[in-house]
Amino acid sequence: MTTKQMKGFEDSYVVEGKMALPYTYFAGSVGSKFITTIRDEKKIMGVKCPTCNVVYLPPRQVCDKDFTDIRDNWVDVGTSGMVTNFTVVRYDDKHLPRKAPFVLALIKLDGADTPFMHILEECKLEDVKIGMKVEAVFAKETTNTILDIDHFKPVAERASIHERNAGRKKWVADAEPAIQGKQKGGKPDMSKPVIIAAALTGAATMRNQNPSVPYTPAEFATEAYKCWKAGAAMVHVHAREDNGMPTHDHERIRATYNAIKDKCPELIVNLSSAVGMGKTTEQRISQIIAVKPDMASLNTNTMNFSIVDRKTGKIFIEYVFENTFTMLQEFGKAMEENGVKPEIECYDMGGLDNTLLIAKQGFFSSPMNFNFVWGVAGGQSFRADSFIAMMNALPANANFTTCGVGPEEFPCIMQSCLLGGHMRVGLEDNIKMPNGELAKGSYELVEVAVNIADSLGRAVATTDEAREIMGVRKK
Amino acid sequence: MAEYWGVKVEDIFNSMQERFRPEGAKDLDTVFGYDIKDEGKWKLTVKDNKIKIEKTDDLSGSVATMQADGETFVGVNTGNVDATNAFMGGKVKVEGDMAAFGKTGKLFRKFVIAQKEMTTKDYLADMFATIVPRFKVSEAAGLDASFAFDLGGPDGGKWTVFIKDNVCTVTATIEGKPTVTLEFNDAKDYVDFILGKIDSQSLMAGGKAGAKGDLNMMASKWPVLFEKYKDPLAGNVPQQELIVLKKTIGLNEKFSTGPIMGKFLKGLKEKKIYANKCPQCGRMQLPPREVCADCRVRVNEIVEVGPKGEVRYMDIVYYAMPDPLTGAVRDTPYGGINVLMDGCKGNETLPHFIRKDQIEKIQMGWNEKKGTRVRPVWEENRIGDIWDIKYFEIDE
Amino acid sequence: MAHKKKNRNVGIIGIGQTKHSSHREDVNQPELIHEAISLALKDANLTMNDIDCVVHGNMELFEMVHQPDLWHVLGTGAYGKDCIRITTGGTVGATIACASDNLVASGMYDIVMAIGFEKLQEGHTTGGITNMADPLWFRKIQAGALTGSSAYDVEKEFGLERADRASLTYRIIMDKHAGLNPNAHRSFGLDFGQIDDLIRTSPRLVGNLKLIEMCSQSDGACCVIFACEKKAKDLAQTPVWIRDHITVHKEESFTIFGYDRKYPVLKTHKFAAEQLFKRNDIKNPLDYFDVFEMYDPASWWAIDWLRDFFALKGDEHLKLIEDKEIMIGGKMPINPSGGVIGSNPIGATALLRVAEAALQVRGNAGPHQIPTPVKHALASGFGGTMWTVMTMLEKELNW
Repeated sequence: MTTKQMKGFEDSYVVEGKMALPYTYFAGSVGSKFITTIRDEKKIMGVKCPTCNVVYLPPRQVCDKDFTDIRDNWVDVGTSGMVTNFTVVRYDDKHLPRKAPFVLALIKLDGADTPFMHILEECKLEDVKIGMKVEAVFAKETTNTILDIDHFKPVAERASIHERNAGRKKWVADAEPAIQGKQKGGKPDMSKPVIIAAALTGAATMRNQNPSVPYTPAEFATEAYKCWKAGAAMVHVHAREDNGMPTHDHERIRATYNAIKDKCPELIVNLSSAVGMGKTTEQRISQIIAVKPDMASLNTNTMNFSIVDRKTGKIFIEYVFENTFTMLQEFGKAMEENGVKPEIECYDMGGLDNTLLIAKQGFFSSPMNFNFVWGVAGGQSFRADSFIAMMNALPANANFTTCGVGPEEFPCIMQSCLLGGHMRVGLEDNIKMPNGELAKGSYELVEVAVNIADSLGRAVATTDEAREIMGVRKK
Repeated sequence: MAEYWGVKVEDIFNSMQERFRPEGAKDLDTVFGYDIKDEGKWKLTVKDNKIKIEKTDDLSGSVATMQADGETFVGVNTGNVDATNAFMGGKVKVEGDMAAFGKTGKLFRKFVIAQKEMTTKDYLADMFATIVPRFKVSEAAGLDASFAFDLGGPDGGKWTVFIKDNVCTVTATIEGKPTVTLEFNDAKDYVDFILGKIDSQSLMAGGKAGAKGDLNMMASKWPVLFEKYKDPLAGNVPQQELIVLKKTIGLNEKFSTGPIMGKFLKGLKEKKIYANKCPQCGRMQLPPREVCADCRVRVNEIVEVGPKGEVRYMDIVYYAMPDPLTGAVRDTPYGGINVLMDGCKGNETLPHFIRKDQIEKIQMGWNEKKGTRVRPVWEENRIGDIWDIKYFEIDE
Repeated sequence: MAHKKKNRNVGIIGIGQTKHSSHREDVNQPELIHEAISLALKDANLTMNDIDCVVHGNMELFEMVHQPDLWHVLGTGAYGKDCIRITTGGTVGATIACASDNLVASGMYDIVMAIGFEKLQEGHTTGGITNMADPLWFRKIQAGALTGSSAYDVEKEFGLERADRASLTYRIIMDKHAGLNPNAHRSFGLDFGQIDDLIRTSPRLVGNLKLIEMCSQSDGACCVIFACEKKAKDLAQTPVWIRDHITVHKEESFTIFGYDRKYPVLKTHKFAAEQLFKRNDIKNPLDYFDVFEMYDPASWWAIDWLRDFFALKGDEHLKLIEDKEIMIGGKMPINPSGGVIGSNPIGATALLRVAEAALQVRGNAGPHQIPTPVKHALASGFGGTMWTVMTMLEKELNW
């Protein structure tokens, strides 16, 4: 060392020392069971405090908050969980369990309430994220320590719908045109991929009901993208003002439409021709003509469209939704003339019959695309036999999808998927997940629809396939 | 032969061959003796990773012989008696090489008491005999009830448990009108039920058991009125494995000597021993220290003392302690001495060690008047460390 | 020495301790501690919510856990509370009692919980102790906490035979006391008839200090709850009042084994006792106190120190032992609990002295309760290199 010695300290120098202390650590009965269960059974066990309802991991003898003796309340917390925080160790030291750099993560296992620290491997440092799903990899050679879990690794996530679609053959229509008879006699055509549509907002769902409802064009774009990622081929849009009010303003609608298209060019965008309550006929159709979306909704009868307390029957808002034959005809023609494929909304069998009547004029292009809407106060409630009756009344070659208000959403889309039809979900129709929790966004409801398709073995339609099925031209 | 905890002394010896761990006998070539009072003598020969155990009166050639009575011996081997306590309290003695005998500890796996059988009759007797001791008075306030048990089968019987005025009594009949009566077709099912081997639902569903009277009393009150029955054999099932982690923590350290201690240590390199003298009280501090703690003044005057001196105090250290630098254990016995170096006075003695073979020649303890004259024996290669003095030896 | 009167009185209102033993593989450190804490809370009929501050202590390097107070929150319940950790060597337990007393007396907290603990089976006591010495030279040659010096002293003054017998008599009395204390770690069932046998057969550790004469190495924990006068009177039937405590240090030096016997080496006990009794106007401590819980690391030290604590002359201290006046039922019962020789979880040991003395004052120590009423009790702690803590306990607030 070349340190300059202070005057009077010439004799001072540094002595190398060493300290070695043997010690024995006893894990105790609770700690031992924790370790031996990991070692022998490859199971991770915590203890649950019945007083404060917390599952502790690592386990402990007493709850340190309320002093409840919890040593016997063992619960299996599973072997997978989520990273709640992490750090990258970038220095080497002999006491460290790995060579640097490596990741130490706080992991909350699925059955535990407290996170505990372990090593995260089999993953690039830059890919580690808070919230990522991980699972335990148990050590081959055990040491009676917590390293009997050798490390955690990222859970191989289920391939995304897009990866799965990329891995299958693209659907093409049979050379022989499909006939409606195929769906008759209880033999649905399951060969077609199922189109999932996400109705992002509607005219009435507000943020106080579900904070994920998009208002601004950017929010629409983000929501639409998430839905597309989750498996939706189409979004249905009622544009909103910044304050959430439904708008018929062309610029706002166009901005919303373009924002979605910019973010997600493939996605089919279906605009509402209802817009919202109290809009004039002109306001309703002119925006469609102005924006010329891929698709637009076409409503089929004048009906009550009210808000009624479903428990007491008390009427909150009385409203008549006007869709005269003339409007049906003019809107239909306008759409077809502007290259906008109509989605024909049927709130009951009458609406379907209205359409079939007008269709005799011959301006609807084939195939026609119907949406059976269930549960509007003024329309019909979902009934399985009504569904089949409506399906059987469809013209040859027509497609059908369905949506239901509130809890009717899930049974109706499941039946549609089962019968070879398509599915529409989203916050417009329903704000909750099947378990009653608020959906984090329409995309979560799209995931439910994807799961339904998966359980029935139906492929989920890509945007290309959806265009081909529904006859929507690419713009 | 007497039994202790159900185990005979010879059971321990007879199972040695089976419990032997060859890895614990590595490089061992020795003979141990066991002299168990009123039971006999055994000789254990360890050689070539094998053992031989024989009952013999001839313990000649043993490097160490353990003496104990049968109860202590069985107790220590079965974990019922604390080995250290038995040794400390004189119940276990070792004649001969104590350190060598310590190695027997690693030769064998733990002795496990063989499981004894208990019949249904044994269990029933035990279950009802322990009812009163298991009774929780605190739960019985204001309770006046009787619980009858009608247990069928070859081992069955009838019992009634009465609770009244905070007192619990048991009769081996069914008397009066019980609050609730529990009936089992086969008493064995009842035993299994209490031991937790079978659940009540499958018993009821299978028609093997039933109850009459106030069912709620049996279902809700009975379990809180009594401590849970403990299976006397449960102690014999292998105990939970308790995790023990052994480690030696080793840390590298750096210490700054400061100018005064630095001077002392550097002096050793030059075969010089330095003290320093307090300017106020005049005491000589050895090793020298920055300040005099008595006078609270800085002490600068360095004075060379020694190198010879007189032993003022000596301790013989017999117990083995770990060297704090390595964790390894020192050789014992050794003699720790305090030397009053020539030129020092009062209490300023230097602690160090005496040459091993001269321990006997030095008076133990204090020597207030005149102690043995000693001189330092220096290391060839000195580095400025207290070990530059290897030890002191008698200056003849 | 500047020493002021207390700001307010402090009483002990809860006492808990584990059963002390050589090994507790079934519990880890916080779990062991928790046993003592639940017992103390139960004893005081309080919950953790009532505790304002936790004072926690154990030895450094003995269990090789850095910042044990952090991990131990699992057992101490100090979660979200003020918690102070104190380590002062063998006196840790006594110091946390002093600190708790001061914290309450000052008015900072109304109820303070003191926790002392040690799991000696986990670490290496002697290895840890050697690290207290100057690392540059003395750490390399010292022999831990053991020395035969007291034995030589007593032998030289009173002859080998009388000294040996006095030491073993003391030892066997402690064994008998420990036999009465259900929490004591070691009681071998020794009898006075075994004295000659034990002198002959017990292995020597250092000089004439024998294995049998040395304290145990124990796992255990102790918890004592202190409260201000008002709360103590409200909450406890028989609070035990802390009258005074004193701590005396001396120069850190290992070169003390000179021959100048006038130099006050190892005499911190004497110094502390003189100061404490003088400022409390106690003329004859042997008459005044009804029981003494002494920190006795080995029987040789204990018999030598008796003289220092009670300012005895000549062989009065040996006579107390030989006449068995230090037994339960004698004139000055020493360590009815069995003392440090009986149980020594070091970080808890000196707190156990205070706790056991307080139990004697309360009159519900258990089978080792002394038969006559205890109004005044004394407890001592010994630690570091050479230092002393003494605590005086009273039944009545009338000094």
